[in-house]
Amino acid sequence: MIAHTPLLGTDNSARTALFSSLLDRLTAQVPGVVHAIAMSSDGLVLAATKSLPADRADQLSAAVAGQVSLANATCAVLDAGVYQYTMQVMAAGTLVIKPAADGTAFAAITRHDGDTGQTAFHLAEIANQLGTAIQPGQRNGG
Amino acid sequence: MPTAAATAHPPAWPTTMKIVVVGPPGGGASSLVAAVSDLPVTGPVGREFGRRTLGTTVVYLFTLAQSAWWLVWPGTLIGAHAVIVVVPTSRLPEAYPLLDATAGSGLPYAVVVDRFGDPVRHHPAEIREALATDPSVPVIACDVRDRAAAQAAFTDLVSRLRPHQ
Repeated sequence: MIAHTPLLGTDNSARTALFSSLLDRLTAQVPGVVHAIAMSSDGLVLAATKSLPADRADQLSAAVAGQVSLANATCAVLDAGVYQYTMQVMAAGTLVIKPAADGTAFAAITRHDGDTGQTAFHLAEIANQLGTAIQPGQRNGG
Repeated sequence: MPTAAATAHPPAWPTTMKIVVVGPPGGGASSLVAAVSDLPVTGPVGREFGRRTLGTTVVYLFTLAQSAWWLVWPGTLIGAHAVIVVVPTSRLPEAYPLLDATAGSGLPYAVVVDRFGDPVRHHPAEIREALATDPSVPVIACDVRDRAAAQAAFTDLVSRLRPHQ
């Protein structure tokens, strides 16, 4: 359980570069998306859009990690199957969280007039690409 | 001072380290992180996040000091290198389940005994005995609201909890 995708201290530069480009494309393609991050299962930042300063990205990643672990626990309590999405609607915008199968999670923040449906769809696409994206890293690491 | 042999080989410590700081709600875990973090601490009560740079190592701190801690315990521990259990002297029994879970995780851990509001000032050895922790587990007593004391305790513990390769 604890060893689930251990990412600290390993070389994730290829993975980070890929995620950064995917996140930057997300903010470019979906109107209203202002920030996005990719978070590893340990709650630390894998990649973030250039719009987010490093300190803010670290804080957002930790906040998302808390939500992901609580959402997973809630799914288990409810016996409701796999955790799919979280949408946190705020006065100034919406935080959309999409967990991936390996414990990684992707999150985007849209303005209040942003298209959250499109945002969720694109985050899911990024999460689905993960299956192939992590293969090289795992081979190099092993 | 490091020896010539030590400086010739850069330390194999990770450049990033994740530590989960657990304790009974309102028992000093959040105060410890607030005292040592060089970022403003964020997050809901009992689920705070802090970050501290020590030398070349960035230490990421995640607190778990809420009543339903067991619900998010496995998720919070993912990727963690170590656990610090903050135990208020006046509420030792509340820490027993946390200490059991921490010991069961197999991760290196240490105990910070928070002396805030404790007029008796028990000796750490007495507290170690009361908690029945293994002799290899570091136990440090301090008032975590005393910034200097908390910083000293924290840096000492990080150096002892760092993974050695």
